[in-house]
Amino acid sequence: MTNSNVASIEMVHLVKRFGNFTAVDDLSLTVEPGEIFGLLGPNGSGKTTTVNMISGLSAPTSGQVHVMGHDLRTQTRQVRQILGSVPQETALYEELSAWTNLDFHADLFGIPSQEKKARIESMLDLVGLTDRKDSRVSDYSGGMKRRLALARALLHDPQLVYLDEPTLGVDVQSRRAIWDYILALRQQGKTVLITTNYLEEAQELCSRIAIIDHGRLVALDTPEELKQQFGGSVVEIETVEPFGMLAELRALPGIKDAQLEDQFLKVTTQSGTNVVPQVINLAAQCCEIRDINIREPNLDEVFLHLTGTALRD
Amino acid sequence: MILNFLRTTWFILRKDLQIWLRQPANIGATIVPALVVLFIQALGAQAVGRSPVALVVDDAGVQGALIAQAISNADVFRLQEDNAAQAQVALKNLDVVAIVTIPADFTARLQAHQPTQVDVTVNNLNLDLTNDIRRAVPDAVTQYYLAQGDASPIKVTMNESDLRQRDIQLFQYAVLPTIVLLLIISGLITGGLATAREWETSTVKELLLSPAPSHAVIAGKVLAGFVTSFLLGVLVLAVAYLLGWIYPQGIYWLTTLLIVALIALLGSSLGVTIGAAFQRIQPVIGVSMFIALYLFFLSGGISVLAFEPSWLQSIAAFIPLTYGNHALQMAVFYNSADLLGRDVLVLALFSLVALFLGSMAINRQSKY
Amino acid sequence: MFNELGYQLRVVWACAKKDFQAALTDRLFTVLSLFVPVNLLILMSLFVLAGSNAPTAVVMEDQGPYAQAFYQAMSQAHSFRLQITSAAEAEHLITAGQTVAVVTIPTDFDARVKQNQPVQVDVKINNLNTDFTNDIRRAIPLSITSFYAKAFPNLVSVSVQEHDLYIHDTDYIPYLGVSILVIALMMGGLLQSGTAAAKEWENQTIKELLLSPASRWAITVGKMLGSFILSLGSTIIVLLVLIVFVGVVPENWGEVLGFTLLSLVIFNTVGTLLGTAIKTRQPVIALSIGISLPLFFLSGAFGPISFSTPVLQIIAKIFPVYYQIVVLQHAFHGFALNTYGLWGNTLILVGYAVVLIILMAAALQRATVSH
Repeated sequence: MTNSNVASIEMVHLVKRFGNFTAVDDLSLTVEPGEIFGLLGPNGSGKTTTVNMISGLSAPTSGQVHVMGHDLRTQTRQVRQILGSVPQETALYEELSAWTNLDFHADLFGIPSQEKKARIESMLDLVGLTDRKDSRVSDYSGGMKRRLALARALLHDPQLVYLDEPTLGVDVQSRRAIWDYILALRQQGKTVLITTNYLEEAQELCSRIAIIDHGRLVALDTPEELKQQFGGSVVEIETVEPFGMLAELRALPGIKDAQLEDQFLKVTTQSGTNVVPQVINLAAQCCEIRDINIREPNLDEVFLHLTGTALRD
Repeated sequence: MILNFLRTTWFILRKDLQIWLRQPANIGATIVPALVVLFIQALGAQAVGRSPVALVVDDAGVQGALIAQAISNADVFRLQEDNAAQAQVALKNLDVVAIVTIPADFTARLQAHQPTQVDVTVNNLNLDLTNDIRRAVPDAVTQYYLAQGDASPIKVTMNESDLRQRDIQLFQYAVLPTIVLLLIISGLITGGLATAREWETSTVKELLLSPAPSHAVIAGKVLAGFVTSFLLGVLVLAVAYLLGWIYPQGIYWLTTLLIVALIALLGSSLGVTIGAAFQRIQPVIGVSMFIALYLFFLSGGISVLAFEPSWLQSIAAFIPLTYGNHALQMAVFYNSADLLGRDVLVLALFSLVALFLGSMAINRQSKY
Repeated sequence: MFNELGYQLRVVWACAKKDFQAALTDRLFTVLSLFVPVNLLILMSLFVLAGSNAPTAVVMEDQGPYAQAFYQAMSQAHSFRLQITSAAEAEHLITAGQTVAVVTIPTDFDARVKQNQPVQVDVKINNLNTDFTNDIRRAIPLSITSFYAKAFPNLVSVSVQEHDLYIHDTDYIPYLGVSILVIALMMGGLLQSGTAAAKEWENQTIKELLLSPASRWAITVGKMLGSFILSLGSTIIVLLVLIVFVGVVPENWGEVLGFTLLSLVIFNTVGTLLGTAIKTRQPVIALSIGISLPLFFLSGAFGPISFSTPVLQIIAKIFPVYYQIVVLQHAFHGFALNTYGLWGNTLILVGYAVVLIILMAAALQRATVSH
């Protein structure tokens, strides 16, 4: 159950320095209850440092963090009680069985003894690992480990769930399954914070995305709005000969950007304009067209535009 | 083919050394304790065989003074002169092991040709210390008589000849076994872990899926363990030399380094074998420690093998470190190559056997 | 309040149980580390098995009564392990390293002694180190003096009258065995607890603990309890060997039990602290041996530290191992090895335990996960 009046996470002027290096630089953002919030950024942007501070694993240099209204500095224990974490490296005891891992977690989080068994069975059933409950985790595939880690994070019914790269190294089927679990969490009214480098994942799951780079917040909005801000449409044209009227194309009103590489022309239009027919016309005047593709901007382009690097660099 | 072998060996060696250099905690944890053991033994050297004793001289006569002088000159104790009450307090407070008392009638009884006794009250909680006192006091009495020269009633004297041209203090003697222990532990654990870690982190796939011949992989891994152990051993040797504890000279530096190298090679070869056999860090460490301790102690540890029972001496004959210890002692303390050929041969043979076993272990595990 | 206490106790038990279960999955390492203390006891006992009696060959070129009496004096000198051999055999033995000295009683020994003429006994020593060499150098004159005191009491009237503080001599192995017990427990304890702690960091499972609402105290105590239980196993094994096979029977069983448990608490805390500080298993394991061996030489294992040099006396008293040896020697043999009294030494050890546990909890409190 969430108190919809209180933000799930509120970061105010959050700073983290390691010596002379500033990993997180004056970060302020709010995660609303019941949303799936994505934190994107290139490697070394400060995503994991930020989340370590939210979960209490690392102390901020300055700034404040409130989780469900609890001040992280003074009410760390309460925060941990309502937070469920799925770290990137899963942090499972590989030499123990799935059941033993969950049993231990239940004890650590004070789940009443009379409820423990039922909850564990329920979580194993949720992630489809009931028939492997007594197998050693070291025998699991990567996808199974992630599912088990998710089951563990949900065992104590947290209000806020954090997943660090939830489908990293996972097969397609398991990825889809994990996405379904995450979407189901939102249905249950839980708040979910994800860090990810997978665009489709961010697009598929997140109600809002924050893009951070060099420890600073670069953009914060819904995926659609971010794409809108980037541009209206993207027109990709393959010509038989190289396109020779780039200057004229760029001069057209409503053109945000035009890139040419050999026979491949990529034109981004401004949002709210309808210049696509003129672009195609101009291309046809110049050369024989082999292929045309018109689409919406994708998050990679948004990301590249905002940070100067691709998401997976 | 040879070139390919050498190149591969070099690449593996270089990679393992780079990993080793990035682990200063491991390096420190291996070498610092060895140095600390040596320093502690050096700090305690003065106390070895020289127990603290209180001397109470109740006699005021000449003979009393003479025997007190003999006891002092014998230099077998760390002597403190006290009165009886002070001596009792010192004994009670464990400041002294024993009280030696020259009774008040010592001179008078001697002059009257009557038997007279030197009283020794000893804290006999430890037989080793007690026997030191039991030897030392009569020894001092003997010195007292011998000091009388021709007038001494004791005509039997000792004519000592030593096999070795110099005396070696116990802490110096302990330097070499300590280095041997360091070499074998370092070789076993460094070589073993470098190998086991490949399996535990699955980086072994990188090796097994490459065209590199498996014997080159083995050679590279063994050499890496050898280099690290050898360097650590040489470092401790250098420190001991600079402190004046050991003094090999001239060509005997070479024989010393040769033996250190062979022991490092043996340790590293064994380590790689164990690493390939068990493939996980914890069992490798457990087995390596077990083997290192047994090899070390069954070769005599820091004691003298001749003092051990004959069955233990027989076992030691089959332990390669026995020969390592012997060769190092000869080179370092006596500038001698006595039985060097035998010692080198034994160490080399054991190293070859270990290498062969390691090669078999890795080949067997190629079915990963 | 009781709910809270119940929860924390539950966390303690859960952490201990989890570590114990994890140890059982790595049976080889667990078994090996369980047997480390007893292996150390056996091996170090081998080291002192023959005691300090120098193996010595005696060449009796004279078989007369005085020569025999001299041989007897040597055998009672607490210093030799004698065997009578021929000259050639003796030379072979000393060259082969099977004896360290050859004593030759010359052919005219009896005749010269009878006539009060000087006679030399040749002593050839393989002087590998001064420790046993000096023992021999003193033992021969001792033998000479006691030979004369028996053979010619009118000539040599000075003798030594010994009074012992304790009724019985305590042999070297029973004494040293207790010291080795302490070091063996230390090595085993550091190994178990240090490895368990370091592994959490190495495998990143520490996050599971740090992200839980459990108090750091509970986690600390729980981890220590897990390794404590395993250490208890190796303690029982080593005590059995010491008491049943080596024959060192305690004078005070209660003290043995209590001080052994207290020692285990200290060693397991130090190990956990080490593992938490270093965070990788390899150096922790190397240090388990690396710390134990120097402390063995430092802490009065061979005799009261007050008999050693002043520097070592000061250094020894910094470490709890010294006090552990003191209290256990009292427990087994009734010895008082310092002037602090049993309660004084116990309080010091309890103090160490408390401080170390506090340090451990503080270390975990401050622990952060590096990015």
